[in-house]
Amino acid sequence: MALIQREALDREDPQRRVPIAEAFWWAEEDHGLLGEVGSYNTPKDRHGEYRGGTIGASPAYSFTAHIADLSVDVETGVTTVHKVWVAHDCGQALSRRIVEGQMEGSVYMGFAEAIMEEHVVDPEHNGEHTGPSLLDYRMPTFLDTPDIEALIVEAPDAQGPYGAKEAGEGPLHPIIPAIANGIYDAVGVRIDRLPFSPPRVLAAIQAREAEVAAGHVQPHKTNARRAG
Amino acid sequence: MLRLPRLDVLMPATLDEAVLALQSPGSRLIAGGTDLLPNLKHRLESPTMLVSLAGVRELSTITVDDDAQELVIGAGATLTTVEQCPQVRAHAPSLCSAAGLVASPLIRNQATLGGNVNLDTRCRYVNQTDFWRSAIGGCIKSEGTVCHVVPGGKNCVAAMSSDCVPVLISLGASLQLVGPNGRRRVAMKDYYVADGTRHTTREDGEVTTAVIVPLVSTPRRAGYSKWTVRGSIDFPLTSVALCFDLERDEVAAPIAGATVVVGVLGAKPRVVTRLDEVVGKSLSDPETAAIVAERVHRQCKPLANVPYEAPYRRQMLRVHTRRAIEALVADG
Amino acid sequence: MTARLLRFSVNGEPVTVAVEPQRTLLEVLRYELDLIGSKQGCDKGDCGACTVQIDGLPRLSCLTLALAVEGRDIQTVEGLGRAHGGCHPLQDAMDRWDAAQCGFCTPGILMSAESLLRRSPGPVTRSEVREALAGNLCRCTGYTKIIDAVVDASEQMAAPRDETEAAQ
Ligand SMILES: Cc1cc2nc3c(=O)[nH]c(=O)nc-3n(C[C@H](O)[C@H](O)[C@H](O)COP(=O)(O)OP(=O)(O)OC[C@H]3O[C@@H](n4cnc5c(N)ncnc54)[C@H](O)[C@@H]3O)c2cc1C
Ligand code: SF4
Ligand code: FES
Ligand code: FES
Repeated sequence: MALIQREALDREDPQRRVPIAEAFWWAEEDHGLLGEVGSYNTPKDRHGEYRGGTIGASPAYSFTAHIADLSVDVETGVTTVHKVWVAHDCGQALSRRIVEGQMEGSVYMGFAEAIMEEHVVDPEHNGEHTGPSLLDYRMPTFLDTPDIEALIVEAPDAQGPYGAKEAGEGPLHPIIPAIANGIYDAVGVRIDRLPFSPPRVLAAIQAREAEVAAGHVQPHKTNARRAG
Repeated sequence: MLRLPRLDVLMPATLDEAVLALQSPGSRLIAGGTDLLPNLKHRLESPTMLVSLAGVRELSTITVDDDAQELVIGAGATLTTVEQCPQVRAHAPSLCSAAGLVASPLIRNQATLGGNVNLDTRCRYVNQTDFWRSAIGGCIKSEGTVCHVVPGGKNCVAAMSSDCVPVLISLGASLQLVGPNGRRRVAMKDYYVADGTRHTTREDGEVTTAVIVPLVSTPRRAGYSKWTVRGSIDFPLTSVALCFDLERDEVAAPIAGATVVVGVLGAKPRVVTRLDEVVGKSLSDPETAAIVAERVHRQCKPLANVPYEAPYRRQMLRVHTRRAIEALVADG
Repeated sequence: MTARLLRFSVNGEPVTVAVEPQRTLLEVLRYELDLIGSKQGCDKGDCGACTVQIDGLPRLSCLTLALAVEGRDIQTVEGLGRAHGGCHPLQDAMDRWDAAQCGFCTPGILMSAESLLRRSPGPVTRSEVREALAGNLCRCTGYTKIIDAVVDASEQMAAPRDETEAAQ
């Protein structure tokens, strides 16, 4: 039997054919749910003696690069990330769409941490969490999330299952420094605390402007361009 | 999972039945429920009966009364309807903007304008589960006796957080109310009072039946500026409604009258005063925007009641006011 | 409170069910009618996981009193594929694009997206999708594949094509 163009056909007699979905229904009627169970465990002995070395991390490290296109509003401190390109070496991609989805989700979560998400407990109110629901704990909506373009880089790893490395946590990390560098490139301030919230970015911009006015630092390139 | 307290629900078909039902003690009016139900789930109130306006058809019409020169918006009209209604767009475009900026499309499909103008005041210390509140012993507006926003304060300063209210006040709108003592009409600028536990002059059992916006035949430019962290779902963190009457129908024309109303301060929206200085100046004159922004900044002091930094919100009021005027000018 | 009889239609079928007045539509769907596709996320309007259609409009069932839908027509994700003999083109597209990861937001997203496609005469743009789905949060996907899938479904509905080839 062969599965071609949404049809299952008899190889000996190609005239005998039914839609694939129907073939699966028949098969499941006869045999129950069609499926196969398998598993892969990360080797425990690949990593060194360091703390966390035995948790069973994937045998090879993955690599990721991010580029963020953003603008910073110098009057409000609001950083708008327009687009993110994420290139990730996941080893062999077992399903490209799923790997892309993991990369996009990772960008989202890192971007969210960079721009707005924050766990704050309030020591003046018995350590209450200040964002205890999905209203006060703000996570980006469809309208806040940048366009994300995922670029898979495949460098298979012999130790991993079918050559895979990982596509879970790796593609998250670089977006935060990418955005921090983008802010620096745009307005010349280095923010080293998360999130890069409007009040924080604005305070840094204003502090820098004061330094410029006092003659301690050079105007940033954008300021120079605007003045000229 | 947040359960509603045990209560009864009444679904009257007419306004008269609703007003009658509201006279029984423990009853509470519900329209779209997008404000009241979260508050009940948070155990901020304990009514024994909800009287729903969902079945009262007569409240959801929008009409232009040519004789009275008024746009009459039924309190039961949803915010989606208000946003998309051609008559509202023609006569009160800034109201369309404000309605379209409330919460999310899903909430706007359900939320009513009557509910929006009667939206309860909001505060980071009160709009939480009763479990969360129990760790700080509540506050004046809930189970407690103190205010966490103004320590030592005796008055609740929870924020009037409706997007439509500042716009409606700026347009000179009034409310039509029907209650056990009959009908009355009240100017929206007089409807709100500075008490977060009861911030309207609505009497017990009174129903808002319509929001009435006077039509103007003279040239006008009106706009609304809302800032929040997210592009959707969030309540406003800064909220400024502006309305300029002009001597001619162009933005370069001199201003004949200016009204600016700011929300999300305390329980009462603030009508900015001393704007006479811009009367006679051109709307497109950059000095106009600078003067208005300065007045707003000077008179409006956001509090730590809503979940964002108050000093930043105050700074931003100046920026967003100026930009809102620049946007009106850019639109021509 | 004593339970009252509520009559309404769910996915085209008339339903009569006894409900306590303080129940939300979401609770009745999930716990009385066993329609657990609609999800209980925040239960207070913040997330959109509970989105169903009431008389064709997407709304939040966690903020709707059950008794308020007397006589009205409710569509849930369970009924979405009915007119399409199995799966709605949106569901097919979500599958092709792997647009569901944990899947918790998916039913709500489908109900918002279906309403957008029904209102749009032809294919939709990415920004239209963003606007229409702005009340539905997703924690997993970064929204990208969801937007891809909704745009793809709208194109597929406007001009059907063989998706077996498209997926290759
Ligand atoms: C996640 C979320 C985000 C939100 N964001 C915003 C926002 O950005 N901006 C904003 O303005 N609002 C926001 N809201 C609040 C709310 O959705 C709206 O204000 C809405 O318009 C309230 O209308 P409703 O019909 O749902 O009111 P309900 O909840 O039914 O009623 C609200 C109050 O008004 C009273 N009331 C209702 N109708 C009448 C009437 N006809 N006469 C007298 N009293 C009446 C009720 O008794 C109740 O006290 C948000 C809500 C949620 C859950
Ligand atoms: S302003 Fe004070 S009293 Fe009012 S809700 Fe907030 S903490 Fe409570
Ligand atoms: S469960 Fe209804 S909006 Fe979150
Ligand atoms: S797929 Fe997990 S929340 Fe959207």
